[in-house]
Amino acid sequence: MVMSEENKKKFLDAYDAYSDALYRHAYFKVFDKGKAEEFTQEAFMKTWEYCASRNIVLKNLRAFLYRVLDNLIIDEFRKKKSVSLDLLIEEGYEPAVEGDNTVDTIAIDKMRSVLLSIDSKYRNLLIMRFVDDLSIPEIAEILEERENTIAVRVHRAIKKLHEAYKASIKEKK
Amino acid sequence: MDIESLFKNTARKISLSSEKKQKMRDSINAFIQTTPMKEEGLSHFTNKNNRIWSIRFSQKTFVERFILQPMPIILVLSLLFGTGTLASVSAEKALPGDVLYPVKIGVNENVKSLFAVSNESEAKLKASFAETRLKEAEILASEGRLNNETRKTIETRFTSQSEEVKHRLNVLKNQENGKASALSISSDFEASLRAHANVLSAISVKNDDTQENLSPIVNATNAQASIVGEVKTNTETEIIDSKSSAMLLKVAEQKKQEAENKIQELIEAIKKRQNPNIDVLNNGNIEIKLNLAQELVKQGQGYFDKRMYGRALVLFQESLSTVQKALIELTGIKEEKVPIIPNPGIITSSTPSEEEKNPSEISNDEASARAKYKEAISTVEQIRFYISVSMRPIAFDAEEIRLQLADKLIAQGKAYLDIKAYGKAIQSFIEAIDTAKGISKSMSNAGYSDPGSGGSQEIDKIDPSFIEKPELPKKPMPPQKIF
Repeated sequence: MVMSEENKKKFLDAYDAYSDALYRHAYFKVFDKGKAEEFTQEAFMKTWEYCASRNIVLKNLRAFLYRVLDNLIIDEFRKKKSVSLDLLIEEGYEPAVEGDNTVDTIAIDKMRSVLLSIDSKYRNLLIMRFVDDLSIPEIAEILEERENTIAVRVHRAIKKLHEAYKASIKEKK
Repeated sequence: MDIESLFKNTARKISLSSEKKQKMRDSINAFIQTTPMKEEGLSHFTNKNNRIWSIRFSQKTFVERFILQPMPIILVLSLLFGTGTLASVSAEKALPGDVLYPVKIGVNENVKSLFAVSNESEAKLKASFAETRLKEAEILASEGRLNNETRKTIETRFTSQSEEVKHRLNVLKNQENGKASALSISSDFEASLRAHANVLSAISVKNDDTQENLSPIVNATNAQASIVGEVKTNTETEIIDSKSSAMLLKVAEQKKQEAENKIQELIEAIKKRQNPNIDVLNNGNIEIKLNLAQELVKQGQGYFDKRMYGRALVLFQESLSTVQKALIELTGIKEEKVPIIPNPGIITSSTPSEEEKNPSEISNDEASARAKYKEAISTVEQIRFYISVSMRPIAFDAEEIRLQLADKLIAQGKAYLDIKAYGKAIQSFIEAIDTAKGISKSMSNAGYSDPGSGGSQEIDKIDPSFIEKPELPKKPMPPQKIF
């Protein structure tokens, strides 16, 4: 009994600590607040279910949660294949305005269009680095690559970011 | 500021509101309390040594598996709140006045709300609660158990739950990507409300003692239906004006599929209809609605092929709503627990009891029914005139069918009026007016209201106020460049 109580508490602590970050991560992948909320909740639920039914205590709960979250997002993408990203960029959308600061909304929209114009591999790295605030070693661990490899890739990704950003400014003119 | 910091700072602005965060925490907590870890043989894993990454869980989401199916959620509830499992299960079917009804409202429905985190799922859930209230009223009324007290319980809850739906929908439609689901939910809800209002009125014809208690509920239902209808119309207009055709394409396709499936369902249901006692007056309407729905899909397809996905979506949605209404009416009539035969003997016997009632009440019903009758006739006549005067549009069949439906509904209402079934008469007239307004709205959406070149002179003479043009919202200013 004591064991599970401890686990439950640890899990809830993990929720308190990671839910915002996970939500943010999901948002920058799907750009949909409602979906991001659902995915976040789903990620926690499924993780708990997995552990509970198999009697597992995860050493790296955080990484597992991200993994589950990413898988959920990928599944969703697969279901909705035909809404291609090109069209998303082209068409634009109405940013969420829930009594929000207009400057924020514009900034977020900018980020969104810039991100979407970058290759998904680099985009993911940028999200991990700047949205999730992960360090290079951490990213390397998650992706199971050598630190060096990741460092180089991230550097390239940042370059792409600069390019895309400059390009977007030119377009608007 | 360099781009990286800009990026980071902007990213930080996205986070869960404390309200949502707490709500999610509560539902997760509820979940983990009721699915405890097994005791024996705890093992430890690190992510590196394990192939768990490749394991996919079941495809259905948690919400689909637990909330939408009654049994598992009952078990969760009973473990959570310590109410006996049996009590919670029985509570699901409770009606106002039953001992377990408070459990159904206070416990079951509350826990279901707990798990609905997104705006969309909350709106859907609250809508289903509101509809359950109406079903409760239907059952009570047909069993003759609808009294003043139970009626009040149902009415207050129904109204507040419907208000919540409206609120959620307004938030949802302003949310990014929320418009399509806001349209879907508001259309479904409106269709369901109108149909339930029809069913309730039908019951009040058969069961005269409950009429007094039913009419406030019917009024409330109609009122809420109009309110939701407004939300739906606003959403429609916003969708038609919106520019994101990529998403609209996909959603319009899905909606068309849904509409076609439902149409099939209706066709099957009509075939299977074995109840010989179905109110004859209703027969033709269901077929006309089917016809209309099919025509609307055709019309929608036309817009779709012209890449006008917004309009296509709106038409598919309308087709779907029409079919849903017809289906509810079809099954609502079947499931009535009182003998359905419209034996003239039974109905005229209601007349003496009417005299026992307060005379001013009788004439109120009759007066309002007749007033509605006049309103319906004049609205339809105006629309008919307007159609005859405007330029002949390309895809007109749907409008003609609607006009046909409106005429039939007025005839139906008149028949009810003659047999003094005032509640049902009013319902029919309301539906006729709605249908007629639908014609003018869809015509103005399609741009037919513009006289254009060579338009007839008479158009200028038509009082524009009766033509319901959707108020086009001001387009939002494009975002200013700040960077």
